[in-house]
Amino acid sequence: MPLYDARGKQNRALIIGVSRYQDPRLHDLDAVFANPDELGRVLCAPATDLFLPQEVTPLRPDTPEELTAALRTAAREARGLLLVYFSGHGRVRRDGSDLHLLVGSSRVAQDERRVASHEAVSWAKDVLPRLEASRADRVVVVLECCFAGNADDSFRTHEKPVSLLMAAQPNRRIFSGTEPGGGTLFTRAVLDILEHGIEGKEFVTFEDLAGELRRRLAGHTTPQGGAWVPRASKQNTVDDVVVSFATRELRPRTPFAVRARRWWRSRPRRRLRLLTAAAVAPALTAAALILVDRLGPPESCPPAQELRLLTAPEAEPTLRAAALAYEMSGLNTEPVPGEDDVPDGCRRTQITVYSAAKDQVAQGFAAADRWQGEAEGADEAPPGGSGGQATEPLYRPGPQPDLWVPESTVDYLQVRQGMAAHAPVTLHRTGPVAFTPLVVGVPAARGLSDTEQAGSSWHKILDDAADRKLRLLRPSPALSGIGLMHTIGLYLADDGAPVGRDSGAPRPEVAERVESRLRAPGSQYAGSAELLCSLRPGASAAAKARATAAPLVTEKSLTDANLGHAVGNCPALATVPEKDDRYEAYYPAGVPGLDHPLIRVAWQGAADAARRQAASERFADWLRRPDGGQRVITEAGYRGVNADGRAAPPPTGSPLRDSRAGVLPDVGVEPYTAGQQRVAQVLAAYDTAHRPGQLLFLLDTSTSMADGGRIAGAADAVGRALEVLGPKDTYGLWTYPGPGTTARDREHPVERIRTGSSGPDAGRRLLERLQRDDGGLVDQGAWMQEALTAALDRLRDSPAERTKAVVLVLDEDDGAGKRSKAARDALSEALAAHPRIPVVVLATGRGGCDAAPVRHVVEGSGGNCVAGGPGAADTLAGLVASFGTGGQEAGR
Amino acid sequence: MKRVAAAVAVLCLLAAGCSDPGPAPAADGDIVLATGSDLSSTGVRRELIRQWERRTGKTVRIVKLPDTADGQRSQLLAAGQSGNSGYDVLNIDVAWTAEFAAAGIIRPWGKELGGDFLSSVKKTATTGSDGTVWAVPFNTDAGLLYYRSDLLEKYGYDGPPDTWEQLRTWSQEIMAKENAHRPADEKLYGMVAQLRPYEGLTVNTLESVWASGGDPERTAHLAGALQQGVYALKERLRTIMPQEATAMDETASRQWFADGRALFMRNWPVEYASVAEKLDPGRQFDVAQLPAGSSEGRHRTVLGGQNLAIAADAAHPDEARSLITALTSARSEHCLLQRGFAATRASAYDGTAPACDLPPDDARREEGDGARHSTAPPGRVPPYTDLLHRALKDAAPRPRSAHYATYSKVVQLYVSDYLTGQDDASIADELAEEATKALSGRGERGR
Repeated sequence: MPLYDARGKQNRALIIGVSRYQDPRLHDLDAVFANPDELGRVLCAPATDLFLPQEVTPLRPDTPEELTAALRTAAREARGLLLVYFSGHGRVRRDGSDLHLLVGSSRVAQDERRVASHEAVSWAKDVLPRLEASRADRVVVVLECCFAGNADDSFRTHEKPVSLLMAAQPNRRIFSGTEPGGGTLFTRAVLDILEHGIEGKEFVTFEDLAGELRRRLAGHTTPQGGAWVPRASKQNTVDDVVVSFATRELRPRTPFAVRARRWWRSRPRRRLRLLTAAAVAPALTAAALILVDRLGPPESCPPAQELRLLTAPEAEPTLRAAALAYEMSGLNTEPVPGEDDVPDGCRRTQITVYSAAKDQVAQGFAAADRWQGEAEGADEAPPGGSGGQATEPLYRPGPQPDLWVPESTVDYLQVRQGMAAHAPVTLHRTGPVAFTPLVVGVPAARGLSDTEQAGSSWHKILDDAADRKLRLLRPSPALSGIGLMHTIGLYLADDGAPVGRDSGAPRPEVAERVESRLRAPGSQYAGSAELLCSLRPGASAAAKARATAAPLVTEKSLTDANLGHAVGNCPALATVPEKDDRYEAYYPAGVPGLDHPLIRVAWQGAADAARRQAASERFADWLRRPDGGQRVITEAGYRGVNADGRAAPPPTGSPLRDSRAGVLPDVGVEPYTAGQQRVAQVLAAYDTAHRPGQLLFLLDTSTSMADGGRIAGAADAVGRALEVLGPKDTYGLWTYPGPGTTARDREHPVERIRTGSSGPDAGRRLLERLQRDDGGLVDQGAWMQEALTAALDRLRDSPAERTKAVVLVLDEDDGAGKRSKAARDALSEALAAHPRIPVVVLATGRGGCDAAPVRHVVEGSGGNCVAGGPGAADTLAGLVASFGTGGQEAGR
Repeated sequence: MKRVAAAVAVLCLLAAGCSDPGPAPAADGDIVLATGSDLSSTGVRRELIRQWERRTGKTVRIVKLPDTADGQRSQLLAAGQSGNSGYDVLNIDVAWTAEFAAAGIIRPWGKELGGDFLSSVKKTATTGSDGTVWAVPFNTDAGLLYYRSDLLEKYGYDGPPDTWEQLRTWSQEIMAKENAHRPADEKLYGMVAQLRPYEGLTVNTLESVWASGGDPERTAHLAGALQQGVYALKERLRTIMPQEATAMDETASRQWFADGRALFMRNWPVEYASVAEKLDPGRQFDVAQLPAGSSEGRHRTVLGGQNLAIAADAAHPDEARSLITALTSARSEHCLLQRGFAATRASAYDGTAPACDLPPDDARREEGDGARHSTAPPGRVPPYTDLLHRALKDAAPRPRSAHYATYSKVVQLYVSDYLTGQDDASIADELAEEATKALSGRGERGR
């Protein structure tokens, strides 16, 4: 049998002995107390000839973490032999499974089957994985505890060669609690064998030790009576290991090579000085510096260079996890070109990942000079400068990015198109980092019987979905890159032919047919995560809506929804949803997928531009590496990127491979290649297929709106909604109640911005005034019923060729319920009159969307309700976008 | 031609006052204040700035930073490292002060911080072994326990729980009894807190770890307390919190509590007014210090709040210093306390501070980052003032390290996985090791 000889290697021995227990139900083990020190002495003794003193750690742990931390350290440091020795109490479940090693603070659970894992150390969950992760060549474990023999049941390692010695056979106790101090019977036998060797043997191997112990204990019984038989077991090896070189014969001298290596390893300082001396001749001063550096405490690290990574909301969690993995990686401690002298081993880069809606990103880049100016503390841009769009790009979309990962190349082309010629920023496209195909989620209970999940054309899917009375829901093409790419697919791949350079312009009849199925007022969402979150099982109100909803999303987000992962603001579910609550993914043929290109963004005038570029490029490169960012990206449910920059099939272990994900992981995905012009044509066709919108914003400005910052939240949401109106859409902005003291004065709303106005600037200025100006608020209850009736009448009287809607910002907490019956009846009539005009309510009051006046308005008009709070602005914007043309970034 | 240009450039450098033709950072007289919190329209902090403007005849221009704390930090730090931020005063989160100091983005305030600043709060402005002061505490914050006093009374409890264990057992009892007759969608939960993976999760984790015996000065190193702390957090999530808590921030948890769907909530005092306003009539709540780990333990909380610092490349350092001094004076801090902020000076709490001399406003409209209104009648301090003062004395800063941001990200990642995962296996030694590594600024070596 081959023998493993660990002499001269970097070995570690962790000797654990627990003799004192806090729980009175666990008797102290006085005999164990001496074990660690005695065993430590023997292992380093010249006779044993295996371990150096600094390689042996005795441990008397009080908490499970002390034990696992020491184990982790020893496992990591060992390169040759790792020896782990435990003596103390052990417990198992009633069925004999799940051995736990008990430490000082461990308590016995009342119910013996449940040994809580935070109170004790699990053999299978805590110890074995750490041994498996060790870098040692060989591992030897000795367990001296009650039920030690039960360890064999769960003794499995994948690759690591481990030998296990158990003090007794399964289901045996070995301590009675009355053993005298000074070392246990078992350990004393082990010590004697290791220190003095075995008659007739040149050294002691693991097998020898086990055999000799069995022989010596043969005459003993366990404390409860019955034979005492130590057991041995092995994983991933048939070899034997020398555990002591002690012998009763004439001992051969330790080989010179071993002695030399030991001498070298036992004197780290001398080793360093020797190395230094060897390097001294060419550069004395440099060498001296290194010496000082190595022997002194490590220099403290300066803050790493901060990179700002902008992406879309759906990709943010994944890129955030990837960025942190990079930050903590070894690669991030390598020098970056252009850096000043950063001490060795320090992290070079840190990355903050944040996200914004697609239209806000486009507005930010279109106003790049303003973006830069704000960051430099420059005075406000003159009114009308930079198109008067995003007044504060630094506020939203946020920081000036160094890296930008849009959802697809289309978003990038759009931004390029909108940028000024002399913008103080340049964009460098470096290729895709993650792919995901576009899919339609069809409720599993309503599968499309005549349509193949993959390979069917949009035309056929739309027909079949109509037969099944499915409501198709889409993220807004204005706010979301997913919504835009879906629209491109719907228009250009209607017949299933791949969208490519040869694709013709979108045909108007296709766009019209598509939008007739998709333009239902209020059917758009800010993003795919928000869309899927609104359909999450559990919310009882959503149950009916969910049964007929078919969301147009990505394979990745549908997988998250199907597997119960967190999506958007919805938390992870405790269990995977039932089959009837899941969706099946249909892959419309020829539709391009998302390619998430990584764009490096270089701002003019950065003093650290070279280093910023080098750091960004290194991260971008790592993100595409199979052993780097791709691990995180594929684990999250994206398709990875192969060496050619194309989509790679998902690896085993990808959530896409889980059958419950409802997706087809082997369907291919191609990026968009048809150029910017086609995108513009699609948006124009979208525009044509939608009648322009005519909206009337009706704002409660009674003083109760001032409470709790409601007016600020409301103004923010309305301002955001104005941004998503297209150039042909019009709006008006009214406030109520009117000023004055008589009821007649007050029931008339104030027409602050004439209906039929366009361009967001006037609205934005008014909203600012309303927030700032104390006189803007009226100190009496609101007269919502009267104001809304007037608003509906006005819209109904205007020309018919527009999609009309009222956006009502309501605080129903004052007065709304106290209006006369006549006023309520008049409103009911106005709501029911034809053609119906949907009312979208932003409910900022206490009752939210459940308040009676809100329900009256929403149900009466066939409208929607958004409750005030975080995310309300984007949700409202998504709804508003579905009333107008809104397909192009606002103002262009 | 080139040579002429070069000569001009050299002359330019020699001539004092010759300005660079490139992007000129605020060469005009305005003091530029960069802030994440919205100071631009109304509110007491804006009024204090206006008062200084009136007194000195200078103008303060406010640059509004990104609307998330992570975004604000990222922008200020990156722009500072690139050498192109043109700000004079930075209003920064207390947790970033050490990093900004080490990165050379703010300049030292001095050797000492005079005055009666609370000692726990003072620590947030001081870094390094030499105790240099880098900023002045503007407003502070301490986590409080909000509780439904009406429900506790109904079930025979005459005050808030003293320990986390009591909080859990009381919750379980009251949940069982209340939910017996409530419809499913009005189910009462024991507690809500901020467990979404963002800075709030780090704060809640630290508080749980400190309650389990962790030492605020050595947070990263104590694996034992760390594991007990995260385990206690998971145990509360499993037994008395809604699953939705793993997606909650301050606002979402406040909404849940104000809707009457939770018995307890951990939150900042800033939410007091919102809760008071939104909770249905007939329901009552009160606030207390966070529970302790044991009956003898301290009621630990994490310090929040903002510090004011002078930017390293400030064009108007003297005016910046004058503005900061005025905004943090004893009188100003008294005004802040009256208008719903947590003041940073002891005199604001013990009544020895000079009276606030801001013109009385209707005190109804405040800043966009929170509802700070009608918590107290004009000229008086809010009802929770004494309690807040006690909580602040027991509060401790988060690790003051130049690498805190990475540390917090590591904590969020590990704890979030642990809370939502099925497996209870210990994460403490790995988390402790990663967190310690994060705080050291170092990474994994050569893999």
